[in-house]
Amino acid sequence: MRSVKLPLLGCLFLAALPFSAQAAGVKLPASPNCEINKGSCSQIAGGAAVSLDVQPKPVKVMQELTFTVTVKGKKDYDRLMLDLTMVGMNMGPNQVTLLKTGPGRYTGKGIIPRCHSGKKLWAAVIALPDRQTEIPFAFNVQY
Amino acid sequence: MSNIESTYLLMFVSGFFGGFGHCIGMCGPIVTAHALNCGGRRFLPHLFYNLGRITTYTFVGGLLGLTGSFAGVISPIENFQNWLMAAIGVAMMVMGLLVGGWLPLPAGRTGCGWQRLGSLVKFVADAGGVGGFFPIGLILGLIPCGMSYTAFIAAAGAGVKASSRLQGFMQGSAMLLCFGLGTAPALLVLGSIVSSIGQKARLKLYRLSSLAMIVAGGIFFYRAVS
Repeated sequence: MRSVKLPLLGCLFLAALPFSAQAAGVKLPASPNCEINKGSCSQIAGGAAVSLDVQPKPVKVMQELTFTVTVKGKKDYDRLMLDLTMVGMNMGPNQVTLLKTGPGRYTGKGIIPRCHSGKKLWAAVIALPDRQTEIPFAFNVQY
Repeated sequence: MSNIESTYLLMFVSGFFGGFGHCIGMCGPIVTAHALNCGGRRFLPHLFYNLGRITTYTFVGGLLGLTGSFAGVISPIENFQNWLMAAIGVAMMVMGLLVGGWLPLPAGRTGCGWQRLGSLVKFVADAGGVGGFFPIGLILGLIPCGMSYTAFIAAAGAGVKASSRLQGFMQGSAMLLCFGLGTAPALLVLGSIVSSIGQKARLKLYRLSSLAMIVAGGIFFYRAVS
């Protein structure tokens, strides 16, 4: 029995590695695709032009941020959900509810927590309610 | 299942899966360090350690639910958390030097410089028996952790939506209790396995584990000060 304990420990760590990565879901960019600290970012996906802006700038961890998403080319929704995910590490679910504040415009508040690994690449993943489109905006935050 | 009940379940599940990845990766060195000093006791020290840690999470969750403000509660204690992490890093490096035999163990509590610090670390580690791991868990539950911050953010959000401060406190506490309970299995398993390593293997591993402890302590210290 004792002889299996060390290999078991090794297996435990190896088995844990996939869970230490980001939570399962949309494939996240490995590098930034959005310079959020310089302005808003836009992508076209699923027949819609989606833009994201975050205030205040620079976008820092551990402070309340306002996320504004505009969607053109799709019908208006009552709300959108935005998932904040660290690229490469499972930080738990962090969802921001964006309420409609104008035609095709949605706003909500959220916080990006500090990770003491020093990693700064985060992704804001916007899910359009038709569930066929998830749009990741990957950007570096400041500490 | 009601909305709040599904939130509790989500917190538990996120803690459970995060525990086997995030917690083992980030806090595994701390758990391993005190597991190697449990004197062969396999489960109770780790149970008390995790109970202490979960108690801290529950209390902080209650505070966040009561106030509805993540920044209002966490910001004032962030500096303390960083100092705590730096102190733990130093303690781990000293413990690694002691365990590896690179720092001589003082005969009593006399000595100077590193010997006095090593003596203090050893005294704290040995004091209180199994129950002593509960206050250790209480304190180490305050180590800054991004994944627990995410859970705290959720508790603060529940406080904003609650109909009263009491409801916010109860919901915030319950959310972090569920999250903490979810993280426990991974750390209990890790700690129990390390503690149950036989004496012969433990002697062989001491040099290796002490090196790992020194490196991990250095990383903790660097993260705290950078």
